[in-house]
Amino acid sequence: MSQDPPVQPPTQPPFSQRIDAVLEDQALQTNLRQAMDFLVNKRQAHFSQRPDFEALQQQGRDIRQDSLDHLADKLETLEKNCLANGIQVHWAEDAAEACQIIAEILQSQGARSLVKGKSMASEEIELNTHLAGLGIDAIETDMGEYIVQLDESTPSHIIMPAIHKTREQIAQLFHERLGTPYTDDVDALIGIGREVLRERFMQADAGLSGVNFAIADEGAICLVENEGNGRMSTTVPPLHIALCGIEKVLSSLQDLPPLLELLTKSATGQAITTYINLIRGPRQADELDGPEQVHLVLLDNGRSAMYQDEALQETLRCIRCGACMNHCPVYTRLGGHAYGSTYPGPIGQVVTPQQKGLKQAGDLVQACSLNGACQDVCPVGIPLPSLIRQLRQDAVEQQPQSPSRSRDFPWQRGSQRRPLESLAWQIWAFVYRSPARYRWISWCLSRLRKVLPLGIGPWAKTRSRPQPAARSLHEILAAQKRRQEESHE
Amino acid sequence: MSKSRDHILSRLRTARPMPMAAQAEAADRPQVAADRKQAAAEPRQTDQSSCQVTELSQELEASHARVIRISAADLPAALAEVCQHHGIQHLMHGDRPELASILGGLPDSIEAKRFERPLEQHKTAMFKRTQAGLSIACAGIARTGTLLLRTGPEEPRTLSLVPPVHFVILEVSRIVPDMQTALAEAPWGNRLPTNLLMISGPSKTADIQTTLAYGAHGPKVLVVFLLEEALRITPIAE
Repeated sequence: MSQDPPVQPPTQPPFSQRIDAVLEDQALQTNLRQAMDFLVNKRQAHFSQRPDFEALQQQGRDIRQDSLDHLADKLETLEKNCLANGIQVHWAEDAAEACQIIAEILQSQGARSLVKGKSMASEEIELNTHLAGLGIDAIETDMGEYIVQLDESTPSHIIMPAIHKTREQIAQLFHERLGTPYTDDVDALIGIGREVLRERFMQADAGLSGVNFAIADEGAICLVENEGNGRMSTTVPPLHIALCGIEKVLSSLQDLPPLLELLTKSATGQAITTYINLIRGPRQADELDGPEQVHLVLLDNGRSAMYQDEALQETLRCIRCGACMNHCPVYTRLGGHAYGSTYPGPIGQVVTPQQKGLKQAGDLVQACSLNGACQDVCPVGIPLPSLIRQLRQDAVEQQPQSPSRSRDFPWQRGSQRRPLESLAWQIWAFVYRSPARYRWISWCLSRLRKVLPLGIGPWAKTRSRPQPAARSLHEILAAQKRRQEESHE
Repeated sequence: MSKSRDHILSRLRTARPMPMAAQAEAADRPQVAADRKQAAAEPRQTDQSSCQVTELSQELEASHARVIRISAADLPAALAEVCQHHGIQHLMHGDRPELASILGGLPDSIEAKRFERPLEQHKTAMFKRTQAGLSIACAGIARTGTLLLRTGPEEPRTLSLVPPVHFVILEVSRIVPDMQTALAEAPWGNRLPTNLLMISGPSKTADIQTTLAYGAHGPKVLVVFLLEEALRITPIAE
């Protein structure tokens, strides 16, 4: 029953190399610092009372876990109720199938132009590239996503996609790509974006959105946003396709308020977003606007595999708020692009190796200091440092430590094991298991400290060489004790 | 495609049984269902109503909306004044008998059209000519300064979205303390409308260097008329 992850051709330099370039970039470092401080402070304004936050966090965790515990049943209920509401439901096992399903829906309606509300899932399946290959023009309409698309790049943050760019850089981009006069006034730039995209909304054959939460009992999907492009994309064109990860299901309407509060406060430090839209169906017979057809595409793409692992299934509680990356000291210095994956930051470090395999993405789990800030702020209490540690172990071990864990998942288990490194650790363990051997090695280190090569490779690039003391602590204390005994005689 | 459905569901159903610790945790989770029931059952605190009006107003204003507290009798004049302030000459509204007397009070310089044909038949006019949309909210949420709109034949979805200015009328008696109460009370009737819209201000974005800007795609201006009394359907005088 085990699946392999999709084969990915190597398209980018290794993680360690990508990091170097980014750390040199002073402008990026400044942008990122400012943006992350902004988001951290905004969130903190709402959650300054830790016990209140923890109570809400627990509630969020329970609601999400409750849904996950009955996921298959919830999905069937969702499907049944959506169908009763006139929403067509499709199931996609992987990215390729999802792209195919969406393309077929578009082609069946003769759609050549697609406006996109924000959907990280659509980035995950690389939909735009697939559609471009079929001659279907997909335009991003979230301002940040639009900027990134104009730049022929990818989002660097799941909530604020263009956060790595200054307004001067965006001003230059608009001037070059759109031919509008140069202006770095933010209101003017937003005005330009508004005009350009308004034409596209008006003309588009179809709209695609993500789903923040799918409500099983109602057969409805909930979308949150500030700009209004989500509503435009899902209301004006005659066809609406909603792409939804299977883990996004909630049971009932009453589950929404605490999760919406956690989502908006954690993501952008807002008590509520400008628009929340609960979509229950296409245009009814007596209605005057709204899409004639609404399609819901349920996306697996590795989620059901994650579900089967008792430790890793906690990943699926994620509500995609971005708080973990905002508080991550590593992300704050690298930005999203260095991770080279759809989802960056702590959640990306956990999701990407599970989706793409540990061989391809296993080095991502090294980019973590295990400080735990991510877990502290996660609105649904995902134990990210534990999962990262778990994946580190999975990356170097063929057999899982716990008998209840899957042998086949995560994919490419043990693929990061380096025989030399493994040998080094075995030697270390051999020496440190025995007090005598441990004392002996301490003695060697101290006496040979001037001749041992302790500046080894990448370790020494950013750290000063360790300096073993002339005598070990054991020796110093033993000498002290002897002196004390002698003085008492 | 149904094969994918079967594969996905069967993988979800053959997941490993929960270990003992997780089972104990799950046993605690009937609390989730109980919380839901309790939240749904909590009675509305009507004695808080004037605080709620203030809270709603403050939240909306903090989100860059304009709030005008008014009586039904003064509403036409207030609406006319706001239209003039924003240079509105083309206003659109849904098929609502309650609006008849209000719109009747508008000066001739303001053309108030009813949204009565499918969008496709007047899409360009809607996008390029209509300057303001006029809606009636079915409820308001005090805590977050939120207006609930129930879409349907008399409240088309694009009315509150496409025109750059949006006017909303809300009766103060329809204000509830929080979202939990709003969803529990279900002021839209038995079944969710095709779109249940929760609007908490004009459109905005901070995507450019975290700098806030308004009017990204939705309306740039939101004006809320808080009515002390209920809107009445008055016969139009000949």
